[in-house]
Amino acid sequence: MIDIAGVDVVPIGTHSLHIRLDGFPTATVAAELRALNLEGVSDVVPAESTMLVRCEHESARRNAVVKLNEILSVVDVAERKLNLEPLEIEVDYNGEDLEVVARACEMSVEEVIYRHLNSEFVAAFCGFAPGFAYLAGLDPLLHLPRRETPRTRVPAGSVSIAAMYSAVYPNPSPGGWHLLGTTDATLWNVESNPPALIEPGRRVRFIRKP
Amino acid sequence: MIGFRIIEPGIATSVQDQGRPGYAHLGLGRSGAVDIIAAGVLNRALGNSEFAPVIETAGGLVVECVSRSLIATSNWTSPRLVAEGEKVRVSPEAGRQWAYLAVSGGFSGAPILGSLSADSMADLVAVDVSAGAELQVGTASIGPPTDLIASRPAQLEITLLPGPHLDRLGPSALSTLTSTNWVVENNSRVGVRLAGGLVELPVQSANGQSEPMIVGAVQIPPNGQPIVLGREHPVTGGYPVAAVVDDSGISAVLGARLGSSLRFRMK
Repeated sequence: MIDIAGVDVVPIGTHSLHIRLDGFPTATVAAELRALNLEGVSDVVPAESTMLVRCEHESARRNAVVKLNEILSVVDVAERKLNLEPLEIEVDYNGEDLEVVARACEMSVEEVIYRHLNSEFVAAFCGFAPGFAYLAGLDPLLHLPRRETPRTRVPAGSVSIAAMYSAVYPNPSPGGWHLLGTTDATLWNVESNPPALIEPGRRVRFIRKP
Repeated sequence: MIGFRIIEPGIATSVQDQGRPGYAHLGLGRSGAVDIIAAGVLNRALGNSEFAPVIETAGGLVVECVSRSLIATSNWTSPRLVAEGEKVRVSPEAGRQWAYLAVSGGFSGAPILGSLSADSMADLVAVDVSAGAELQVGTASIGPPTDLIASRPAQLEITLLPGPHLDRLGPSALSTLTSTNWVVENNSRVGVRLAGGLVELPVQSANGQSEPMIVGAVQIPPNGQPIVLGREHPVTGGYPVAAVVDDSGISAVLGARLGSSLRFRMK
């Protein structure tokens, strides 16, 4: 449906679209399409390198393909990031897993903290729980598999890492990520609009609580 | 106006409307009535808008009328006027997992992000339906009651559209889906798990990246037993999607009673 290298658009379900985007910042493309508020397009959902455009009828689907083509045809789209200052999240590095992470990564606890603070994160997508943003950009030396045994309860505000991502737990939940610290920031609040502090495409920087 | 009091809350009871579109990218799914067609039929019979808030239950719900109301339930063939003090029991029809109670004017409350739909995955409850809770009734009725609850022909064959991940499944995936007599083995608002056959997966099935999901997606987990994603499905998931139920069949599949059988055909 769209003739651009790295882009594969296929129908999914009765009226919606499933789009693979190799070499494009999926969250940014999704945010730009969402911002157009197209009639009949109810959700634009990015994931790691694919996105879903939920359309309520056929003409909405056709229109979404046209607009997506326009967005992807802009020369610098691959470089573009959402035009917003990075969101700063203050962290108290008091996490239960700091020592375990330091041992597994063969470095000191201070170096773990330093590398986490100096990673430039971009929210790639949300999932797992409302407001749970997968923050891409974690220092490669901190990439670790999830814990073998997930915790049955991780407190809200836990700043964590797993694989190539960092994340903050918006609400208490079970969880298998490594806990580095905690933040007082409110990640999810249904009284706010948007209800999530971190939207896909948003740049995020962690700063150390003094 | 208080219209009803919950006497027995029943199983998996909640208030539902069309749900809350527009937040999936933030990790919050749409939710909404599982069998939106059944809910819409009752609402139309009462002269409500199609998606006026209703009560959804998997059974055992008993409400007491606090003020005289015109209501419709999945158990009746036409709406009824109920008087103060009258008790109404709501349970699913034969073959259906979910039953609905609708009231002229719709149930009302303070919406969360534009909807009264409860979402157990997101821990959202706009309207309390526990024992003793009092339910407000709105004034959203838009037309005269039609006095007829159209009965729906039982849909045995569900239409599927090919999914985006057939390359991650064995070559027989679609033919298994369409040649098997499936039985509903588990049914919740999150999804419907089917038994009766196993969909082929490659011997070395790669652990998939997270992909955006959609209601009606037929996911194939590593054990090969299909799961049809329900109204409260996670917004992203890693299992391959073999097919997606056509919109025409989503209420039928998601509302199919535990133990009932169904067949798929490709569009």
